[in-house]
Amino acid sequence: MIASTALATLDGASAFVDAVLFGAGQKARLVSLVAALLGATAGMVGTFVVLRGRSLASDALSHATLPGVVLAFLAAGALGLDARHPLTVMLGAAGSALAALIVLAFLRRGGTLPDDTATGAVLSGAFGLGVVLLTVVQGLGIPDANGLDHVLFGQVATTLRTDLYWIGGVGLVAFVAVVAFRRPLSTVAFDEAFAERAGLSVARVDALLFVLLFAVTVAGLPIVGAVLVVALVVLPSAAARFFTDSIGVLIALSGVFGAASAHLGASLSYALPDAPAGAVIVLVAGLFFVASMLLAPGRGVFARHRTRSAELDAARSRALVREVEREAARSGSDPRAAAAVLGLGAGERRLLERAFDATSEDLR
Amino acid sequence: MSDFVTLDLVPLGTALGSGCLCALLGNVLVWRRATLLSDALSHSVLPGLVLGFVVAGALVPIALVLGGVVAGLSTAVTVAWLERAGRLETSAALAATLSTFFALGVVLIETLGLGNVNLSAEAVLTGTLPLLVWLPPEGGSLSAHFASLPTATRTVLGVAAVVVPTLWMTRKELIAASFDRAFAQVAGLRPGLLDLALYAAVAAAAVASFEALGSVLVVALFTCPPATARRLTRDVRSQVFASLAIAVLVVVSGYFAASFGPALFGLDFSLSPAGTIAVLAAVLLIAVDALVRGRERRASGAEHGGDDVDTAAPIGT
Repeated sequence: MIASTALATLDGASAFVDAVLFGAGQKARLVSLVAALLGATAGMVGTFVVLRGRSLASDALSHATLPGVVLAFLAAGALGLDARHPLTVMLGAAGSALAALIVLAFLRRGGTLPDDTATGAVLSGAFGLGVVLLTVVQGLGIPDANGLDHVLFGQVATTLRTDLYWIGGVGLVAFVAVVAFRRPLSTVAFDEAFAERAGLSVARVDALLFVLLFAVTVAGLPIVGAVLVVALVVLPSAAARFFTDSIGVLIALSGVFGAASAHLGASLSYALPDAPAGAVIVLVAGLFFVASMLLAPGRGVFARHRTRSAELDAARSRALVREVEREAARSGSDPRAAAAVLGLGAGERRLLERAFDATSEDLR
Repeated sequence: MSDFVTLDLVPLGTALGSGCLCALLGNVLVWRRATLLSDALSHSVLPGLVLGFVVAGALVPIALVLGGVVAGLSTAVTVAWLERAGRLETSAALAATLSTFFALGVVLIETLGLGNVNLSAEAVLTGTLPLLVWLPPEGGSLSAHFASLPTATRTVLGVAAVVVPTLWMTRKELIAASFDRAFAQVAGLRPGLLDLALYAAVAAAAVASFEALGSVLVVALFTCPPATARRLTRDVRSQVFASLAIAVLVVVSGYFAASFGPALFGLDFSLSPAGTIAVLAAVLLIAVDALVRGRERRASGAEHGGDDVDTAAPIGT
């Protein structure tokens, strides 16, 4: 039992290493490349989504792709078209995400429901509709309905080559578009009022951002799944925020984080065939995020803790020195003797020694 | 009749219990404009649930709820920390935290092979309401009846037994802290501590409702009935009661639509009840909001209308 588990782990590890190094066969290489391209695009688009405060709106949109995918599957089947074709899935997904966006915009313009309520209602209502439609497909006993389950969490191993070409194609177009339009997108993300004065239409740039978000969501659906595709948008740029303030670096770093997590995650899912690919990819992106949060120089948890305790030490040592000087002036003894009179603890003595050393160095 | 008891009574009762529990807590979230916290918590309790399952070795309600509460509180702490130190706005901090926690839970479930205990990744999303069959023991005592209920049902009942009295006892503090945080602080009500208790309660309710309804659809019950009630009422008390009534309405009609709806079209299968409940809840909210908005517009239009209108139309005409 233990031996077989160990063997399985070893097999899994070598499958992972092979896939990371692009050595797990031609198909796996294609999967990794497409996933990395998609991850890079998602990360870069995500920079603007996060800066515009639309993270959870994009979560709602990715959940809202589900009913469209199932409807497109049913419609294509009824019309005698190829129900499993990537174009069917993508058009269905984009259609229902657009419908959800229109409902959200309608609620926002009405102005009587708070944003969070509107987002929650659209997210859960649309997803509920998708779940209901899934039970319709199951109930009607339509063959190949099993493939639809993968819409929730995605899959890597059995993705068809044609699917990968389509995903890669959409990903590439979005990648080129986000690189080409990075300036207007950045301007609007940082300062809406300035963008207006500079002659940019905020509404039009936002529409472009949503088109890019749709492209990423729809292309990522087969690999990452509807539930977690938003993570690929939000996590890389959230991680990159810990490293930089410059928008250019932020975009590039988000792209790198996105590509790395998608590639590593897709490779890892070869080693973990039981776990859904989307969850594995997102978990890797989450690890990047947690690692950045903890370890980033300057803004990470540890760095901040170090800065804080250094500042605290400095303040305490200033207070100590003042106390000792006052005691020295009162008793007319030298500072070291005065310090002994005060009866300091070990930590305080160490701080004071350091302060004395620094002063004597200053004098020299 | 006995078919109803075996197949429908417990799923319906469990959905009703979950619906009312979530709607009750949802009121507080609606006041705080924090309904998306229920989205975050209902996803992020998953790894805690798995942890509780692994520690207890079985689906023990208390272990699941405790695991979920631990995961929920870690979510709240992570989100608060991301907002402050990571300089992320709330929506990004929530999205980042919920997706990482949820992905961790899904990977744990599938790699630890928990699929055979109703904890598959898909069931987590869509709920397992139709599977909650119940065979009442023959002439047993009340406790024997209780013990024979499915885990999900016992969890909902147990969490409700703790959360509802606690909410009742802390209602004044909760309302004060939701509407006027500064006042609550000055009055010594410790809103920070209340926040943590609220997060724990939402996480516990999410865990309890999760197995039956699924993580996404729970959000509909936290958000829609209280938000609908808020549009229809003018004070806190009637809002809370209206939200419970709406939750009951939505759950019962959604459940029966799922069970018997397809039969109306001559189809012999049933729909996902969690799905129909969520759709109904969302549609009802959007419809009520639009209707009330239209009425408010007409009322204010009459108020500010032509010179010949010297009395404002009373609201409700």
